Amino acid sequence: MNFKGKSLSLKEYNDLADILQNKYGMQFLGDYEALCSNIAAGKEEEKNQAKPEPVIKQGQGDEEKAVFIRGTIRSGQLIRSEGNIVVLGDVNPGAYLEAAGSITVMGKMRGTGHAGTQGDYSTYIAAFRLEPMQLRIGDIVTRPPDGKQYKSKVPEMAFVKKGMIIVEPYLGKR
Amino acid sequence: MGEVIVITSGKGGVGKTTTTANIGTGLALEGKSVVLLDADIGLRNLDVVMGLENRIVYDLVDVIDGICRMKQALIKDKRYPNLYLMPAAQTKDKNAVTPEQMLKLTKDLAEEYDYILVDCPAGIEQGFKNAIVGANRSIVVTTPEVSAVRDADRIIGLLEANGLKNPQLIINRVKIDMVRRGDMMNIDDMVDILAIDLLGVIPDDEYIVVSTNRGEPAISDSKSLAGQAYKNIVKRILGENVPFMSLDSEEGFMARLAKAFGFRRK
Ligand SMILES: Nc1ncnc2c1ncn2[C@@H]1O[C@H](COP(=O)(O)OP(=O)(O)O)[C@@H](O)[C@H]1O
Ligand SMILES: [Mg+2]
Repeated sequence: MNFKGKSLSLKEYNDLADILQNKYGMQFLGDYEALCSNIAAGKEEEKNQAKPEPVIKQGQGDEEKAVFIRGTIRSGQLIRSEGNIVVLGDVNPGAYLEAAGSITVMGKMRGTGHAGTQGDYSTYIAAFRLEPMQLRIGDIVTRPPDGKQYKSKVPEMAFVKKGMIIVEPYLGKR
Repeated sequence: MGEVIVITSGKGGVGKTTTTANIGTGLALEGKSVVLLDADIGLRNLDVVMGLENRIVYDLVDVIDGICRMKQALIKDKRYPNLYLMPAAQTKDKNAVTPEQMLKLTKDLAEEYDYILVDCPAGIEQGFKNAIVGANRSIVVTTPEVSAVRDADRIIGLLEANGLKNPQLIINRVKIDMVRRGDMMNIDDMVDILAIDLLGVIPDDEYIVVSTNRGEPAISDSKSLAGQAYKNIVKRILGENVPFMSLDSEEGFMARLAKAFGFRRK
């Protein structure tokens, strides 16, 4: 897993772990120290490290190549990943996220998100507030209904079902 | 060492030049030495807004090309103590100047003056890069329109990528009656999207047009609402904590604004 942007403070690390485990039902491996030494170590050493890499384990998907970003993604900015993308912050209108895997935004997702860019329909786009410009999964495209600006009230995720992109709340059912 | 502040927006016509002229004049009125640097090469108009057009002999490109000394190109504004304008070249194009040259020029100016205000051209091309290269502080101007806010967002991203970490926001041309009717973009929403500190809100004010035509910045007239708002911004730049609501002659306006917007300072 690669990290981009500012490195995490211990508190942020704990918050993130908390969110991932309790809200997203993910399993969190690796402690803060390992995570941060990993950031400092950089790519080369990362490969040589004997102990297992600290990863946000999702059970499936390409956790090796996830891109993790903290901060606001602004208009005109493009984030691309060969794996998953996790944003701890807002994605503004006019910004683009493109992942071969899934996309998770722990803030407002108001930009354009493309998951499964290599054609993987099992990927998803999830956000604390999903108010996107446009969503794509594989080659399927969708956008919020025209008219009044769409406001999301609960965390939601978009995924493919019967060849269509469906948006549903992901909390509360568990 | 003086401070170099770039005033930028992305979209054209939202009030960068007006803002540069007013803040600069305001800082000079507060006793600071100020240089207004017009980086909008080929489309200069800061000199017109300041009413100094007919006094231009040398310009920024002449200084950079070594045709004249820095001080020869600085036009002193006789109405205010310590206010100077360095005009842009009108006849040359933006590529006449490199970022390295601009960096040196702003550094040299900052050696001698308290504030260097750089009026940035619209867009994100070479002219923008030249304008921001020497800045250690930045102000982003927007109007309450979706397209202007989108461009402001893009500019903030570029400023941050260029090491200008905490841009401050001015929302210009807010129309009071539209705010009352709820027909205007909500200020909280704008601040929420752009996620930077709000430096001030300027009402749409006919007086700006009048003062621009006269070549006298609105801030020098106590009757202008926009001038009042610029005065408060100047104080905030100088580090004073001016509340957004309890301002004497602005009281009515700001109170209404506050109600209509559910206003808060970020
Ligand atoms: N607060 C305001 N109220 C009314 N008119 C304004 C205001 N701010 C700017 N304007 C007008 O808008 C136009 C564009 O302003 P200007 O400062 O030249 O923008 P920019 O430098 O960003 O292109 C000018 O005609 C100016 O007089
Ligand atoms: Mg201008």
